[in-house]
Order: sequence, then C-alpha cells, then structure tokens
Amino acid sequence: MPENESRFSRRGFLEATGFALFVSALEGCGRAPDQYAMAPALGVEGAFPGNTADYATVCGGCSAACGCLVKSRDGRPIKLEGNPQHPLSQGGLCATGQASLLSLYDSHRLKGPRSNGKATDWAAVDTAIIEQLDAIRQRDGAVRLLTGTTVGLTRAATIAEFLDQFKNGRHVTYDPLSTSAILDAHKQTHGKRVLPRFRFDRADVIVSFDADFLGTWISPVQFAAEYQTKRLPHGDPPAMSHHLQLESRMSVTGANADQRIQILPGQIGVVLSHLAKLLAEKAGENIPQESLPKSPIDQTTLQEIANRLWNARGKALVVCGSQDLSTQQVCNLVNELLGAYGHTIDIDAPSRQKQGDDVQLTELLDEIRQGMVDALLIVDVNPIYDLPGGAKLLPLLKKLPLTVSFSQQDDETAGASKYVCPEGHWLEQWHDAEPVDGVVSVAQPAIRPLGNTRSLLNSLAVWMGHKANDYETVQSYCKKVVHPRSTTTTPFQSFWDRTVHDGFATVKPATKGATQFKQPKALVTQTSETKADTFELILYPKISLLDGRHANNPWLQELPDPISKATWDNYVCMAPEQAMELGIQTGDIVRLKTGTGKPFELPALVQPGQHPETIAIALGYGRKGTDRFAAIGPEWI
Amino acid sequence: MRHKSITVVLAIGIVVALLMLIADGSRRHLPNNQEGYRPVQPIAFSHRQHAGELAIDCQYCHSAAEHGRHAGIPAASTCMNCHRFVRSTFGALLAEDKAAKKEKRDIRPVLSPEVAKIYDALALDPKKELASIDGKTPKPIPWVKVYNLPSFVYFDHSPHVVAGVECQYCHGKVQAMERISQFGNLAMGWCVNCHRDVNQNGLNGTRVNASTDCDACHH
Repeated sequence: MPENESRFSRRGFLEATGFALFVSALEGCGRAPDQYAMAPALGVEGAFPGNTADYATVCGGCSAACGCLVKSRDGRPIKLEGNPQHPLSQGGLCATGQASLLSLYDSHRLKGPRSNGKATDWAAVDTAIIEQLDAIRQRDGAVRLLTGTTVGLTRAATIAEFLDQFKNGRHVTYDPLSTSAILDAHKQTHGKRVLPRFRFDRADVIVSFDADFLGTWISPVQFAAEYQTKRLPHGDPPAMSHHLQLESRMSVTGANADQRIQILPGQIGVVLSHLAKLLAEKAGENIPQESLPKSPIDQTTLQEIANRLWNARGKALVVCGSQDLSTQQVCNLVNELLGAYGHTIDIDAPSRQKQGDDVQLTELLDEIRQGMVDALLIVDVNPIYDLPGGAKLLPLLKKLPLTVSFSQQDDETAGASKYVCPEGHWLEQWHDAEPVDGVVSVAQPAIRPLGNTRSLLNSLAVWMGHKANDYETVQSYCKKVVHPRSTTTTPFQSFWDRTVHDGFATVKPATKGATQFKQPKALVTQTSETKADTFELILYPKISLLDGRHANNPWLQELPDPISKATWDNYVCMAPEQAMELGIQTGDIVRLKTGTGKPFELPALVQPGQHPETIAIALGYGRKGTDRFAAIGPEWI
Repeated sequence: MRHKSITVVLAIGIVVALLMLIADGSRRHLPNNQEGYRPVQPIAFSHRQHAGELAIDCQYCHSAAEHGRHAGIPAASTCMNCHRFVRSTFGALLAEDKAAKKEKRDIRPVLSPEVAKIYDALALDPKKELASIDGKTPKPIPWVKVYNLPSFVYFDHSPHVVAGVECQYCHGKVQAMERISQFGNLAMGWCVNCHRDVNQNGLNGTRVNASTDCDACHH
C-alpha cells in the first residue's frame, strides 16, 4: 500500500460529512419568525375575523354606474361582484369593474396633494388655491371645470354650487368615448339634449350599426342583461329576438348577432337613409326625398331588413354608434317611423350615463388657446391623453394661471397641472349616482382612504368655505332632492337606511314634459371613399382597456380580448383576405402611415370578420405609467 | 497521518454538535414544528388567571371561534367590558388604601401597568371617566400569533367548536398557562389521527363524520 494512500475511504468521508451537515442543519431549526395578530382596537358587533361580508355600493369604473357588491374581509375589500337586485345591471359587472378592485391597492396612486410637482399638505394647497380663486372671483375671471360624465347627483350639485360663486364659471363635460352625436341629434329631433335609455329587453328586432352594446357602448352590462332576457326562447311557439349587426370590425356584439353584415363606418349614414326611405314608404310618411347614392348593401337584403323591422314596429330598435350628427338624426327618424320612442327607446326617463358635449369641449379648447381661461379644474378625465392632438394642450395648460387636477394617478394631465388634489378610489368615499332617471344609487365606502386623498366633494366644499363631510353632503342631498321623489311615504331615515343597504332606490323620474318629434331636414347622401391602396382606420375601445383610464391595471392588461384572445399588447386587426394579399401573418410587424401623423409600427393580427378595406387599432394603450409593464411579458415570442 | 487527524476533527465536531443539541434540545425542532412555542406578548396577559381562577368561558373573548375560521383575538374594547372597573390587582388597591391612610390624603386611582396598555391602545384617559384623549386614535395591540398554520392548509374553527370539541383538546390546559404556548405540533398526522379516532369512537358519545379527504384541508 502506498504511503500516501488514505485509509479513510471516499465513502466514509462522505458519510461523515453528510452526518455533520445534517447535525448542523438541525442547529438551524430554531423558531419561525414571529407573526402578529393585529386584533382591532374597537370591536364591531357581528364582525368576525376571517369572515366576509358583502356591502352594496356603486361601481365607479366608468360612468355606467352599475350596482355592485363589495366582499370585505377584516375591513379589506377583496372582491367585487354585481348586485343581483340592481334594476339596471342585474347582477352583472364588467371586467373593468371587477378589476378596479386592484386599482384600490395600486402603489402608483397619488398619496397626497401636490403643488408644482412637489408633494405638499392639504392646508398649503387649500390656502394657495382659495387665494387664487378669490382673485379670479374679484376680476370676474373665467373658471372652467372640465369633467367626464358626472353620474353622481351630489357631485353635480356641488359642482354647480361651486361654479355659482363665479360670474363666468362653466362646467364642461366630455367623454373620451363620446356619444355626443346621439345627444345632439335628440336636441335636433326631440328638442331635448338627452341620451335616451335603450330597452333591449323590449325589442324583438334589434338592428345595430357599429354599436358594440354588449361590449363597450354606453352601459354594456345593463344592455347585456336586458338583451339576454329576449335571447332565451320563450312563449308558445318559442320565440327570441332577432339581432342584426352591421359593423366593420369583429366585436363581441357582432359575434352574438343572428346576422352580421360588414360595412364601412362611413357607409352607415347612407344605409340608414335607404332604410328610412323604405320604411317611410311603408308608413306612408313624407320624409326628405333626396337621391341617395347606391346602397353598399344589396337591395334585397335591405328590403328584408326593412320588412323585418316594419313587421316588428313598436318592438323594433335601431341603434347607431356613429359620431356623425346627421347619421344619428336619420337613426332617430328610423326609430320614429318604427314607433320605437315610448316603447324600445325611453326618452321620458332618459339615461345619464353619457353627458359629454363635444361642441362645448371645442369651445373650451378655443378659449384655452386664446388664453381666456383663468382657472381650469380637471376631474376624471385626462385631456392630454384622451383628445386627438392632446399633446399640443400641454404647453397651453402650463400657461394658464391656475390648473388643478383631481386625478388619482400621476397621469399626463396631472403632470401638466399646477396643483394635483387627488381623489380617493371610489371604494374609499361616499358618493351617489343616478345612471338612469328614476334609479338612484347611494354608494358607501368600503375602506378608509389608504392615502392622504380627498374627494372632489370635500375639496370643493373646503374651497367654498364649508365644513361638511362627504357623508353629510350625500345624505343631506338625498334628503332634500331624492327622498321627495320617493314613491312611498317612508320617513327619510328608513328610506336612507334602505337605500344604503340595497345600494339603490327606485324613485319617480325627475325629467318632465312630453317631446315632439321633428324630422331631420336631410338624409345622409355622402359615403366615405377609401382610396386605392389605403385603409380606413378604426380606433375602437377594447373591452378591457376602454379609454385607457385603467391602463395601469395589470389584471386588465393581461385579460385576453374576448375576440382576438390577445393579451398585454396592442395590435393592428386586418382582414384575412387583405393580409394574404399583402403577405402578412399574425405577429408580423407592420408599418402604418396616417395622413399627417408620424409613421409607427405595430404587430399585425389577422382577424376574420374584419372589413377588408379597414384596419382597427385599440385605444387605451401608451398611457404614462404603463411603462411599468414594459419589462413584463414574453419578449422572446 | 492525515486521515487520523480528519477523523479526530470530525469526531470532535459531531460530539460538540450533539452536545449543543442536547443542551438546548427543548428549543430545537424539525422545520415547521413549533410545538412549545411560547412568545412574549405585548401585554403580560395571564390565561391562568382569566380562564383558570376567574373561569371566564373561552368564547367570551374568542367569540369568533363559533362563527368562522379564526377564533380571533378579542378587540381591546372587549377587555374594557371588565377592565373599565377592574384596573389593578386587589393587593395594589389595599396598598394604596393603606398608604393614603398613613399619609392622610385621598385615595388615588391605581392603574396596573399592564391594564394601562389597554387604555393606551384605545386612547382612553383613565383619569377622566374614560374619555378619549384628543388627537390620539385607537391602535391595535400587536399580539404575537402562537398557532401559525402554513397557507396550504385550510382550517376552520367553527365546525370543531360546533361539534363540541373541547378547546383544551387542541390547545392544551390553557387555564393553567400563565403565558400561552403551542400545545400540539400541528402536523398533518396530529389532525388526521384525531379525525380517524372520532370517526371510530364518536365524539362525546355521538357519531361524527370527520373528513379524512385530502381536499378537506388542502383546497
């Protein structure tokens, strides 16, 4: 045996080492770190740790104001679901509503007020703003409050009260996903600028022109609930509604239709005009007689649609998602010929879910450009991102003497405002809503504000020198205005308790006065022409992202689109025949050039059902603050 | 000889490690076995005194046990049901009484330092008829959790309490513990053996069906 060869075998060494390691590992098995059980200081009767309770409230994800239930555990909201008793949403809640729970816990939410981009406290912001508002009041300066649709009653009343202090104060409303043309058309044809309530539950024949009412249009949850009551065969013999969708891109609504026809957005007016002519013949009514260009839909199909509608008159509904005023007027004419008003379209108890006025917005933008605005307060909306050419607003906003943003996030507009007075999440504050005339909701908060935020009601009250808190403001408004509209003789306290408990109350409609139909002066005779080798660009809201206000919510980003199944990223939808002609496959990067804008690149997605002369791109992407997602996702695909 | 020295070093290491294990064996456990865990609590609350001597029912304070997953630690306001009146030990009161007589002065209110912590948590002023102290808000007391289950196990107190399982069966003689220590090892066998046992022998003379399915607890 060589001298240097060890008698300590390899095996023996490993055994000994292993045992030593095992023993030293045991040494490490001490106690787990201490965990704490933070029992509440003040007990709540009937609340037990770990048990959940549902509270009725109103969704603030968009202006549809669906009724929802907050599931709360140990004082933390953990799930949002629809309120099954709510007369409008009937237990539904859309993706945006469900996901807005995550926004409550968003670490990127503003935690307190800011002044010129620097964090400060409320007292400092209030002093500065009150001082400037006083000066503006003295010299009769122009105060403009720019909001999205204000579905809250108390909110609208507080805004009105605040602006009443100024001789030149005005409330301007716009919706990033605008339906302004529908309201303007009713101003023309019915003398009232209202958004009627469409009753899909009363319609036996539904014809929709590019209105994605099951996905993104006005109040999709409510419409879907009402629509589906007619989609289950009922009666004897079993019958269900007939739904025809005329659209240019594949939407969820189109996917659910009995019949789907592809048309260009620019052709809607002409098709509606042809339809109006056919229906007027049947009704024996005189309507403006103009020579119309040839219908993009063949005459037989058109006749078939007209017959179907006419046979179901009083139970037929034509909706139109166009933003063209004259097209919407013709749509009103068609509905009037079909006797839809008073049956499938309720104009006496209209909807308040979209109130945006694009004309007023244009006027405001002109005023801003001319430097005629002294104070601009921006609530709920993000004009620099929302509006076409919004980036040009940035230097203009910076020039205004006083700009206040109430944004929850440090978005584009908040970044350009002198003061940011962040509102809390809707689950953190008292509010109310009247989405449809006669259905009033009161929403209770489910949690104390997580940050040092303040509601719009509270901020405006402080600046008016009031001391009321939101609870008192909402309650006193309910007592003054809503309770007198009650259909029962319940005393106020029980009415209030019931409304807060149920999340809603059905009361008498506030709108009064009959309407008289006035025919539009002309039909639509113009169609859009797509030049050879170009596409018509459709910018559409996606079910998950809508106008992009929730774009930094990862649940919504990762939600697959119900039609394309794509997640996380934006893309260009192309028709299969066009894609094949151009040799493009899904996933290829395509370069797009619009009339004046800079060319840009996006991945292509071949989408059956897309009109071959169009391409479609979703809105809502490219928001400030969404770069936090840029590093996430399978880059290697 | 190299191998000899290695053997000696290893042998010494093993002996030292074993000695250390034996020396503080009671504190050492296999991973996740927290049996005997007896942390110091923020308030020196005595279960022996409350549950033992005073014989207060467990569920007077842990009322949630009957209603849900967690037995729950009572809110500080629950303590005040009694401690608004009971502010210190009888001995301390007697001593103050004596001292007051000796010094010929009025009796001063006596507040035990442990009870004072509850008043402090609730931001109450013991001198002023339990009025809230301005500018202070009630704060939870950071009790240290003794029984911690891993998150892959679901446990619900209420079916056990409703079925009539004695609290002491799983938590030991709490009425004799000055400070709570963990009674069982909370291992799976500890749960399952009991479930098997009651299925065979019944619980308090009644037949029960305690599930031994995997997904009864792991779901």
